[in-house]
Amino acid sequence: MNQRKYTNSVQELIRNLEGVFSNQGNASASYSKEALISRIDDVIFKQRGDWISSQQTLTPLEELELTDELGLYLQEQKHEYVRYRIFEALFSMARETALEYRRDILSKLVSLAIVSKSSATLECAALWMKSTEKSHVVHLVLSLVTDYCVLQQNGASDLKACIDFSPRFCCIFLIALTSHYTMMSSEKCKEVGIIVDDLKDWPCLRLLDIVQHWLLKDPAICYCTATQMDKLWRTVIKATHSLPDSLSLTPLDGLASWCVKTPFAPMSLLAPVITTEECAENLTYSDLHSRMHYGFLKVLLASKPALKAIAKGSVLGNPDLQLWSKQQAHALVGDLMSLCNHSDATPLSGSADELAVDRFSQISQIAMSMRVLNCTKDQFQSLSDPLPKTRLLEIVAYGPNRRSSIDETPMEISTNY
Amino acid sequence: MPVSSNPIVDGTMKTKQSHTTSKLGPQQMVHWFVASSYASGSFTEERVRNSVALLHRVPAARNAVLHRFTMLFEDAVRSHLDHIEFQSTAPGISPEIASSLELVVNTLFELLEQSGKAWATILCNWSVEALGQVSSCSKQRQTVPPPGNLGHLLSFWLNVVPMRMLLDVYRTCLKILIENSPQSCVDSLLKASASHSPHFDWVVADVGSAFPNAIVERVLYTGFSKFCKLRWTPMSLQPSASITMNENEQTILTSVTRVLEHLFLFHPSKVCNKIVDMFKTPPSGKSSSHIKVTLYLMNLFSVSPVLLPATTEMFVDLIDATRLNNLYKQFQKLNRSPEEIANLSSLVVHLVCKSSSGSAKLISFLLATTCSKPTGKLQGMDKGVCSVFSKIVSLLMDDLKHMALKEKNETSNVFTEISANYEEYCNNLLISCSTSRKTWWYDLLLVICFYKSYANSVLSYILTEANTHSHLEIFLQFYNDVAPVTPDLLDSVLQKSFQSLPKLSTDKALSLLTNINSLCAWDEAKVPSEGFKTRLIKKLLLVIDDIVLMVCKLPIKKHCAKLCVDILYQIMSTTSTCDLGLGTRLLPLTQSLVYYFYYLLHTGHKNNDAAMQSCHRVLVQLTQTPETFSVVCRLLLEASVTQEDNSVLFGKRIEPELDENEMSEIQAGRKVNLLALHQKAKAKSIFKSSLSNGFVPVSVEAGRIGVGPKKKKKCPISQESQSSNNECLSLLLYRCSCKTSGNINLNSFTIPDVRQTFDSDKLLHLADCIISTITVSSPQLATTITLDGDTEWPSCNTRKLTIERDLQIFYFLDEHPFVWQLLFLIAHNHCAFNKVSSIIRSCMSVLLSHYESDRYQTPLPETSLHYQVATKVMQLLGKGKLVPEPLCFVGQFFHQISPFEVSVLLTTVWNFIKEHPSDAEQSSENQREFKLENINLQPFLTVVHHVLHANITNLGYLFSTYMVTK
Repeated sequence: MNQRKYTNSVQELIRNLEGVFSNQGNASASYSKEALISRIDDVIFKQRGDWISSQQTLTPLEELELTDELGLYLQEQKHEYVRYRIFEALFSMARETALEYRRDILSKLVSLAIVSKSSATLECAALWMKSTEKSHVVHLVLSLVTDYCVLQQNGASDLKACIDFSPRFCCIFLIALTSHYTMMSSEKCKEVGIIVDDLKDWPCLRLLDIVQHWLLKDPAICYCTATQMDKLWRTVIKATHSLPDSLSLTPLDGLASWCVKTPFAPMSLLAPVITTEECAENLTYSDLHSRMHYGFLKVLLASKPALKAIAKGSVLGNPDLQLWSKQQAHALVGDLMSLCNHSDATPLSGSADELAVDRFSQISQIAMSMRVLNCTKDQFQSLSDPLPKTRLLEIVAYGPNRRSSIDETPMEISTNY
Repeated sequence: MPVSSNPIVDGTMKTKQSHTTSKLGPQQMVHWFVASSYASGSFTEERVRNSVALLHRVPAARNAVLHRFTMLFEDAVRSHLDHIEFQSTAPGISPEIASSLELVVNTLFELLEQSGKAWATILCNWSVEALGQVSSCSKQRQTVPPPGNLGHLLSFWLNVVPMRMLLDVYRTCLKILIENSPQSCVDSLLKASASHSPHFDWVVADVGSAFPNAIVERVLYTGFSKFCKLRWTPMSLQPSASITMNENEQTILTSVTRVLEHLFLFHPSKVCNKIVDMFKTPPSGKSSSHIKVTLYLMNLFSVSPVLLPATTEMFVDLIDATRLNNLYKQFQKLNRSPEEIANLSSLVVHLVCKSSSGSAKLISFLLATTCSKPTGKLQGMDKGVCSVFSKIVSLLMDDLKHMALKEKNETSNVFTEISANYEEYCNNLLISCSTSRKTWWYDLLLVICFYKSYANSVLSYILTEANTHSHLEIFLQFYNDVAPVTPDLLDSVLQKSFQSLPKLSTDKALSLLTNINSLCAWDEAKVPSEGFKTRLIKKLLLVIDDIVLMVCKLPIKKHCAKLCVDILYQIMSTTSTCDLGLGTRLLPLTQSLVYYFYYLLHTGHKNNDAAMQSCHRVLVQLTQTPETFSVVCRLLLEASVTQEDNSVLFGKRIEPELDENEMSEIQAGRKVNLLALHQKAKAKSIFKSSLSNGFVPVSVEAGRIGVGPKKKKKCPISQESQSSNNECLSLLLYRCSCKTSGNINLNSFTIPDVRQTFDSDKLLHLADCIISTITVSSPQLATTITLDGDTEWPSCNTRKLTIERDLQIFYFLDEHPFVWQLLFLIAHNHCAFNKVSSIIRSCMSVLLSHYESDRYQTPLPETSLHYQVATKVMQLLGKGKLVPEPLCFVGQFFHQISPFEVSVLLTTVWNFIKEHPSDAEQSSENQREFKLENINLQPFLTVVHHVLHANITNLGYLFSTYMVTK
């Protein structure tokens, strides 16, 4: 039967690869590394280099078998290094041949790993995501989002559960999410007349639910890439560090901007509600947003171990690594200004502007006090100066003693003098 | 590797397993699914249920599960078809499969209901692919109708339950997609249609009629975006997501066309409108989108023989100067190389060649664009556009010519279409002032002529419409171009022209004939036409009967007749009598010409009118030989007497001459009182002549007693025109009687009245004709003793017996004065004159009776009829050599002698003729020589001498004349 033949040939090839990777430098290996890799496309993915004969592809069933088998193999392979090398051999995006098809198979593999709670596969995937070009990562992430947040009614729980067996995957997943969903297209863009799919840059309700769940469950998740930097990761990331368009180390910047920008969510997102397992009542977008904000503040508070690890130089050997840099904060202020309806005036109380500025103030304050954001008082004052002034921002920037410009009256000015 | 270790291969395990799958983890579910897929045996409900569970639980297995569902549907359809084909042996769809199907479909609908937007795309792709696959798999089955019969196929598949289920799923998905994200909804449809056509076409048809507008629009626009990406995105930047590897321009266009053509069958107007809408409002506001859409549509049409003709006219109506200018600008912005323009041009040409209905309009439009000063909706067109179109048009013409020559026998729509408009093109060709445009119209007409038997229509149309010399030059050029490829062209052109002639308006007919005429008279020295003239005349011979017929259609086409006569002259003057086929044609030809001649006389034409001249000319040409002369002459003369309205022309008196009283009385219907009339006449005669006293007899016409006195009659024609008519007829006959001498120029040709001028044979025929003419003129003349050959003069006294007939002849001559002229003509040949001597005899008989009975001594006045006739008779007798000199001169003094003396002289002449008859056997060639006959004139001259004696005072000077010198 075909089934046997195909699985056997896949197994054989993987075994050969395993042999090559496990005794590197041993000349007795019957196959050279390059020869084996070049056979991968042909044997495993059945994609020939010449696309004229591309009729020979895997049936959906064979695809399923392949992913299942790969998942099982990765799980059984105890040697972390070999496991990742084989994973990379199969799915390296640096190899051009059958690239799209391999990426699709990868998406399926990761998707299956999530549902079957295969931490080995997810760890490999996490490292792959960190060391691969952003566009491929986003593709993978979006396909996972489609699978678990769009198509499956209760797929979110599978994703939520990932935090239990692969926090690093969750962390990278968060980084990719926040870098893709920039939350920049709002009602404002529409007014200008630029026609954009206004939901394209906004995460869906379920996704937000997952994010807030992860943040609240384990605030340290955001730092696990930094704190759990082992030898394999360090090697691989250092090798691909020069990659022009890769993901950042932590999701702090992205999450901060999510928290700040969510008040400007388009109307179509605000209306629907979802129920989650933990909370019986219906949750709206803003409810989830508040939870996420709360979670993020907790994340900031839990930054100590990560900062320590960086200071020790164990993270990529760079003690000056910034978790949330001043440039990033600057960019966020710029985005915020473009999103605010009245950037110079004092925002109305209860408006989206006020909420956004307030959240920015809170985040900045904690970040500064936790030394996540390395910024002096003066620097912050000039940073926040262009923003609409709220009471909270005044307090954060100038301290509680300075009289608020909001309360100022001419009389009081004169007495102040 | 654990897959192989999965324990589900034999049946017992399966059932056991099936109960527990719901409690299994996802990975086990996957294993179970994989194993069951490879396991033998058909689908069980358990397996399907587990598959559904897997679909819900493991997203990664989605494709595999859906693929499995496809197999399920295929299986169901197969057993259904088996059941239809082999009723008894195949059980059909088992209940288990039926319920499985239901389960699957319900699941899918559930998914669509829960999160439609997300699932619709996936299920849409899946269902359409499944439909295609199942359709393709079943194509070999006998029960499935052939793909050609779309309606049948559609109704067949809709009756197959699993297929209907699939189609329902697809339709639901499509509906959701059209509502939410219409951009990509038909991608899968196009793909499936491309890979499974024609067995998949029924799906397209069905879906198309369910959502015609959306499908048409999407198919068009999806094709467009792919087309744009392929064509205008550099290779390196091509986004690979929307275009699969093996798609190229051609496959995209073909699949779009295929779908559109199917939809066109059921919704022609919707498809056309969408296409036109797309052109009107191109998608996306980019600057160059308009030209892109245009190029896309043009490419689309180039692969679709159905859509092109349906929309051609709509597009032609739509295009105007601004649009063209805009397109041109955009095209230039695309920064295309010259080859690209050449490609575009050849594409346009290709399209025009392929278009059918509306192609004429399209071509006219193209030609209009090349106009240097466009009008109407093309006003303000850019010069560049104009030049591009010029190139296109010249290319088009070349192509059309090639096509026309190549596909001579095939039916090609573009030709039929443009052929119908050849008249318009001809007009344009003749009217157009620009040389280049002229060339194009010319080429277009050439194409029409090359293609079909339109050459004759075109040429005859040009011939009809031409009205300047240069038009005729065009005609000649055109003829020379077309003649080599069209056999017997001139022949058919002329036939066509003359067939159409009766239907044409007078102006057109005139111009046609004028043109033919001027072509006949074409000056080859000025414009060389390679012997066209001779050929034309040769060919005109074939239609000579038509021309003759035209001459007869006088009252309607009077001017045409003249031209026809001219043409006839051209023919006759350059063709031998033999070629003319006069044997059969002479009679009708002559009849027509004679008819025409009298028509001219009736309408008051004179001798020197152009029409009359040409009529004379052609008749003279016709009477080259004595035989033809005899026919012409006979017809001409008989027509003058047998038809009353003709004889009136020469002075026949038919109307009663009434004075005013009588008129009024007759008008009042009062009876005529014979006595009163008598008295009135008497009173009149008293005034007239004082000599008459007492009773004056009034001659009463026989059978009219009680009606009134015998009425004098008069001729309704004025005296002037009478004489002109007489002159005209006699001049014609004079001319005809002349000896044949090549070309005749009527104007400079004066006929000397000498014997040598005339052909003696013709004169003999003329004499015969005159006799027979008189014979047929009235029954009395025909029946009385004879006029034929009775040339013997009886004794003078016996004339009393024939006086009745003689009188009739006398009056006949009076009413037809031209006969006198003819008699003078005949007198040149004495043999001929001998034949008509009976006429002279009758006249003399009447004269004798008249002069004998006159009792007065005074001579008759010179104005009297009898005197005039007497002198004419004497002149004739002298000229015709019946009476020798000087006896024939006696007529000179009739007016100076008494009537009785005249009668004596006439009797003497009579007696001379009686005693010296002309020798009938003498050759007509030689003149009669009295000197040779040894005639003793003395006894006759003695009588003359006596008369001279009696009137010696007046006539003494004449005496010497009548002395015979021996």
